[in-house]
Order: sequence, then structure tokens, then C-alpha cells
Amino acid sequence: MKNLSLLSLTAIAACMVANHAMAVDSTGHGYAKAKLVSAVEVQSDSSTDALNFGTMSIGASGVVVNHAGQRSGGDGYLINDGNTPQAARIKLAHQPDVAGQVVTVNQIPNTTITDGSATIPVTTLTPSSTTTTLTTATHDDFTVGGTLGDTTNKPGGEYSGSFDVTVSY
Amino acid sequence: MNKNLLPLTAVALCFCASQAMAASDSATGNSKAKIIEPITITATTGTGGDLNFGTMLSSSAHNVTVSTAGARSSTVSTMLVEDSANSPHAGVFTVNNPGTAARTVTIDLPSTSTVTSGSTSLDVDTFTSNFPSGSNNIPAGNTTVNVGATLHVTANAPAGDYTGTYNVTISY
Repeated sequence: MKNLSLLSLTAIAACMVANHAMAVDSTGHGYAKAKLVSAVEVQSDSSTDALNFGTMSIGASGVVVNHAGQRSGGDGYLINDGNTPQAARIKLAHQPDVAGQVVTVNQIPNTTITDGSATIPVTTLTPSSTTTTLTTATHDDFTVGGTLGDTTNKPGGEYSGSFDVTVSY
Repeated sequence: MNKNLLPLTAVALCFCASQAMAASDSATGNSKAKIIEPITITATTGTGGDLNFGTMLSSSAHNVTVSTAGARSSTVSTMLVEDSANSPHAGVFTVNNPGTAARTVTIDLPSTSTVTSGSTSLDVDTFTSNFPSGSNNIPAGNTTVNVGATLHVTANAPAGDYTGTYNVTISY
């Protein structure tokens, strides 16, 4: 009986060793991180920031206002008055925490300006820069120029419209 | 004279017998032990090894997942910000098997963790690795383990750099 007991104990001890071997662990401590930033708002004041092709007579075609606000084309039809041509000004309003962030201006789709039922296409809407690196200022701006379509046979009037600017960041 | 000689012989024989009883014998016993070299797992830290969810907005609540391949997605994709200075990345660990033969290990991932910035904590869960659950054969030398997870961004969580830690454990 004595010998039997000893045998049993030996077996138990062996099991304990085996279990212990299965439980060997090693742990690695990894780091996780994320950066939350405030949103960038695309703003434009329709009364002060609009793309303005200025004044012209009916028949003007291909009038261009570049992103610096300079008007060209429409030879013989352009009128210089108090309605000064200008490029659209687009404001990227943001918080300082996004400084350094690169904002890309997506392709700006064509649009129209209308007066009553009359419409004139506006095409080739081009930003002054397709990318803008945000600064610590409260906003960073860019401008947009475009091309006005043929005004032949259009009624006189004040034409207006809008276009969409989408930025990615 | 002859009679006296007989008892002396008997004594001599008895002596010889006593000598034989004092002889020894031995056998060689075997003993053995198996000593295994420890397998270790080490996190790679820094931009090449941190589990990085990248840059994002919190205008609305969304869940950001980084796969073990480092690909990022969100339940609200417009909340993701492409930021080349802070690219998403899977967590990277190195499992070192110092032996010469493959070994079997299991990898245990955390069920939850957090990243914090100031007093705000965001939950991280659904950890995944490029190793299947259960036993895996780890060859001799170093083996890379990539870890992905899901970050739960709460609506209007304050902007900031959120950091945290998580543990990956191997058992063998």
C-alpha cells in the first residue's frame, strides 16, 4: 500500500508540471492612437464673395474671369461699369488644431446662372489652387474663376446662380 | 593430526562465504528534463507599429475599423480625414521563437481597450489578428503578428490626440 500511494503522488506531480507548461504566457503591450480634429467648413458669402462676370451686352460669348478676378474674352461686348468683375472667394473656416492639414478641392461641377426662365451656362470653374494647407489662422481662402457661356439671344437682366464646392481632407 | 586439519578447512570456507555477501552491484538510472526556450511577443512601437486609427472628425458618432492589413473604414465615411502625417496603421507585434523547431502557441487578444485624451475616453474593441484563433504554428525565428480593431467615436468628442495601450498575450 505504501508503494501504491507513492506512485499516485508521482503521477499527480507529473500532471501538475504538464499543466504548468501549457500555461506559459508572454504579453506584448501595444499602443493604440487616434486623432480627432474639428471640422473644416466651406463658406462663401453670396453678397460679397460671388463670382461676378461683370456687365456685358447681349452677344458676349466665352467671357472668362480667372481666379485672380481678371476678365477676358467677349471681345466688343464687355462693359466696364461699377459692376466690377471678381473671382469667387471661398473660405475654409477651421480651428487651429487642423493646422497643417492638406485640403483638396474637388472638381467643381458646371452650373448655370438664370434670370427668370433664361439660363446661361457657367463652365470651367477653376480654383486658384487645388490643394490648400491649413494654417493656424481661423480660415484659409482660395478663389474660383469660370467661363460664362454664350449670351446671344438671351434677354437682358441680372443673372445669378450658385455652384458647389466640395473639399476633401 | 589429520583430525585437527578438518576443522580448519571449514573455517576457511566460511570466511570465503562471508566475503561473497559483501559484494555490491549497480545499475544506471536515467533522468531527463525538457527545457524549452521562452517564446516572447514584443510590440513594435512608433509609426511603424502602433495601432493607429488615423485622423477623423467627430461631428457625428461613427465606428472606425482598421484591418490587420491597415485598411481603414468608417460607418460614416465622411468623418474620415486623409492625413498623410497620421496614416492609419495596424498594430504590429513580433513573436520570437528562439528554438530551431516550430512551436504551437495561441494568441489572446483583448476584448476591450480605450484611448483617451484629457478626460474623454473612447472605446476600442473587436480586436482582430492575422492569426486565426486557436493554436498556431510559429516557426523558428521571428513571426509578425498584425492587429486590427474598431474605435467607437462618440458624437462631438473633443478634438485631440487620443492614446491608449492594449495587451496581446501568447500562450504555449
